Amino acid sequence: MEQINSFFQFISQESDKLLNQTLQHIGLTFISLLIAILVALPLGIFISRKIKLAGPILGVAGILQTIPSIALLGVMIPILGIGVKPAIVALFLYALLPIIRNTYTGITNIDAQVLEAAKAMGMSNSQVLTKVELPLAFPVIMAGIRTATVINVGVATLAAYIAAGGLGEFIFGGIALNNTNMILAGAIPAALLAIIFDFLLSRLQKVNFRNIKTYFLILPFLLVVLSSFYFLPTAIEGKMLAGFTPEFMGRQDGDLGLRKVYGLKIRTVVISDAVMYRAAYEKKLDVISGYSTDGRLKAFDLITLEDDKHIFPPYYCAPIVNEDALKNHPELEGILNQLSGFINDSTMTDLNYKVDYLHQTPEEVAKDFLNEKGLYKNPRYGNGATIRIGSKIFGEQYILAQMYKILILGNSDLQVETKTGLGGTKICFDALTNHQIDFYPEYTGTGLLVILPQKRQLFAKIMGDKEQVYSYVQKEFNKNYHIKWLQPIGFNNTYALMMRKQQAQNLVINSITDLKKHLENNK
Amino acid sequence: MISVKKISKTFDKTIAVKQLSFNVAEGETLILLGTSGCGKTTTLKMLNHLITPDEGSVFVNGKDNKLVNPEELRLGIGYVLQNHGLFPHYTIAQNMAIVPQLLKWEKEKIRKRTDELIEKLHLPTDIKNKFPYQLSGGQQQRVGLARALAANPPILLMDEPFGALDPITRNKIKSEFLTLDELQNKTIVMVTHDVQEAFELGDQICLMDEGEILQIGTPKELLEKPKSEKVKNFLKDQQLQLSLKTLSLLEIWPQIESIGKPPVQEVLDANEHHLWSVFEKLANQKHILLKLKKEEKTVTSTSLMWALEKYKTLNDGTN
Ligand SMILES: Nc1ncnc2c1ncn2[C@@H]1O[C@H](COP(=O)(O)OP(=O)(O)O)[C@@H](O)[C@H]1O
Ligand SMILES: [Mg+2]
Repeated sequence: MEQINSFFQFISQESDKLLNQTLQHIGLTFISLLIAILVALPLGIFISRKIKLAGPILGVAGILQTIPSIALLGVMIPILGIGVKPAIVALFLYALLPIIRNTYTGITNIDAQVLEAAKAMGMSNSQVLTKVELPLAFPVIMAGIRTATVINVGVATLAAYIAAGGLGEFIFGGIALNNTNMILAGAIPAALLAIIFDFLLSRLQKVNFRNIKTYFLILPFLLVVLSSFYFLPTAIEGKMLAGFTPEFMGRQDGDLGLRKVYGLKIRTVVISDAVMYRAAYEKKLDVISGYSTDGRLKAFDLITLEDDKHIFPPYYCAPIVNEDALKNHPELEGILNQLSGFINDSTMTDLNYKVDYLHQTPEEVAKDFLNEKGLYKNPRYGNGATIRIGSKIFGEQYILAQMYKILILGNSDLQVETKTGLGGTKICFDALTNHQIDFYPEYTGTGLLVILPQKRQLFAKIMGDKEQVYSYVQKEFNKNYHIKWLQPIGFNNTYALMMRKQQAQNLVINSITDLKKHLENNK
Repeated sequence: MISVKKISKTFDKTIAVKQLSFNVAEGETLILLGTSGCGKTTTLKMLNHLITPDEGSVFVNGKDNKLVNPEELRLGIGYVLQNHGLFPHYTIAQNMAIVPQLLKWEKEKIRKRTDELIEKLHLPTDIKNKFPYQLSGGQQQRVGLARALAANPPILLMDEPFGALDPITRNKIKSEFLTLDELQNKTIVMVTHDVQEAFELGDQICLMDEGEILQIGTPKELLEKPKSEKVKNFLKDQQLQLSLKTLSLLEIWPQIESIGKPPVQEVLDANEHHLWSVFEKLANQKHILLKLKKEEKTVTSTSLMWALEKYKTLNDGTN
């Protein structure tokens, strides 16, 4: 009951957005459908005349449909950029097959005697088409259009990944934020749209008009009306365009904070993390939300803007160690702290870039780096106890785990076992408290917001200050879990706004406040 | 009216029609007769240019089909198919109005014509707003005929029009067909594989085999002067007709029994007629009164058939 109440609360709070997204969704679905019908119907008629071409053409349309939607959208970006265009093209391609196939089947399945009679009575080819073939194939063609519509309503949710809007914004934002209300606020209307359109089209399918002309008048009219929904909520004119992930859009320490604390007003589209960096690189977007140590920063020549009002919580990275391991191996603390102060944001970005983009192994990257800093010592191959190092499943954590391994082997007689790829925070942390691993690299912000019990007011107060967050998590972890936070390594893997380096330099924008001022001066 | 000059048609490697020539005079009924696959349908479809001959020419009303717009040509030729080919999405009235509409008749004229045909073909009046699937096979076939006749074309082509019907319905429709005034002055080309039907309905029969004509002529000619063994063989199964043909009424007179004294249209002298011609006449009327000297006997086709059977058994017994 409470769940339901809070769901309706969410809906009423976000009703503007919901309406907007729904209209966009309908618009996207029907613009692409309209174009698909205009192409697929003649094509279906054509291959029903030239049966030899039916196989190849249906084959190509079939292959198009097997391309995963995200991949198809990704492929479109370099060609069509982000936003409505690639979304409509992708949806259009998906809608082709059912309409071509059903037009073809509908026409070729007509009783040969009926067609022969039509011709024998003196009908011309176009009369046979409009008075006999299309009306008789109409139910089948409509079934194809229904299928295409339902597919399009579904795939249109993915449009949110490439800044084309639609109900996907809520769905993917909700998933990223683990916000059920938000997911449902997107998923339920999307499902309803599919059901409603399917129902309406099924009614249309059954109506028996004798003359196909009637449909030719009604159908395009309806489609154009529905398509136009997309253009109702037009974006405000603005020179710069920001692309934020659905998750970032919904967070206090994301878009909401940017508006509230900085008063940042920028034209914003929602886009997936997977294509965002490239879109910025290709100048389709000017500002994006990302993680400050992401290797793609370097790969796409982007820089982060300073969060001078501290709305993003600090995510300073430090090894967290089980107290028992420290008691048994006192030398461990000193060894692990050796890394402290050597890696700042840009160093970490660079290391991530080497692993994620140059495809060097984490071992190589770790060894090269320690060598360069003079921290590398040949392993002693001692006979001591085995230390188990954990890591979450992404490049940065792999690299850190390898560095710690090298440091331990070179500075003690301890042996090392790495348990990399432990999935998310919860799995790592549980493994640590259950003594399945001895330590892993964790981030202060994660410790505060994900692991510790929530104390909103306190958190709001300390959030802006990295020292305070660090000392708070250190104290609480010690008290509650017997886990010690060692010295921070130095880098802060937090949310950040990013811009192309070139553009930021030209406009002299170093911080978010600079960005805000620039936007205000260039209205 | 229709003149066919050495037409040939080959599909891939099948020679469907080979060097075929014939003429159909105005008002005449020509039957294309032959076993399945001998090229009857192909020939018929070349008459209204549904199929273009590879070689040769078809002249309709003296004009070469090749030089006439095919749609215009077809508007003047009725066409009846074996499985009626009615438009499933049109009502019966709409189906019957197709050609008149193509010819841009006025609504009122179309409505009158539709009513007229419904009456002539003994269709129920409430049939107009029904759809083809709601009709019996016989009704569908009648509507198919009505549709072909709607604009009163001078020529009618029919491809096994009774082929899909059960025997009882078939005979009923066939007898209606023979008496239908609409058909009396039409030039008709009809396809069938049923010899009986061909002999009942045809003025001329064009007997075909493997795309060629075996013989063309009146039923009598085919029976009396078969041109080849093949023709003979083809008609062999129709010995009944042959025996009817060769038997005089005098020979069979003792076996004929009168069925009573119903009113009759025609009185024939048994001396002057063959059994066959009486059967022919009985196709158009139910009863005929036969006279031999002072004796009078009223017969139907069934009673004559009985007489024939008796005659045959008697003769078999003596041999
Ligand atoms: N469209 C076609 N394609 C290939 N072969 C055909 C086609 N139409 C007819 N035929 C062949 O031509 C021959 C004559 O066919 P058809 O005129 O339909 O015979 P009928 O009507 O006497 O049964 C048959 O062997 C048939 O298989
Ligand atoms: Mg045939």
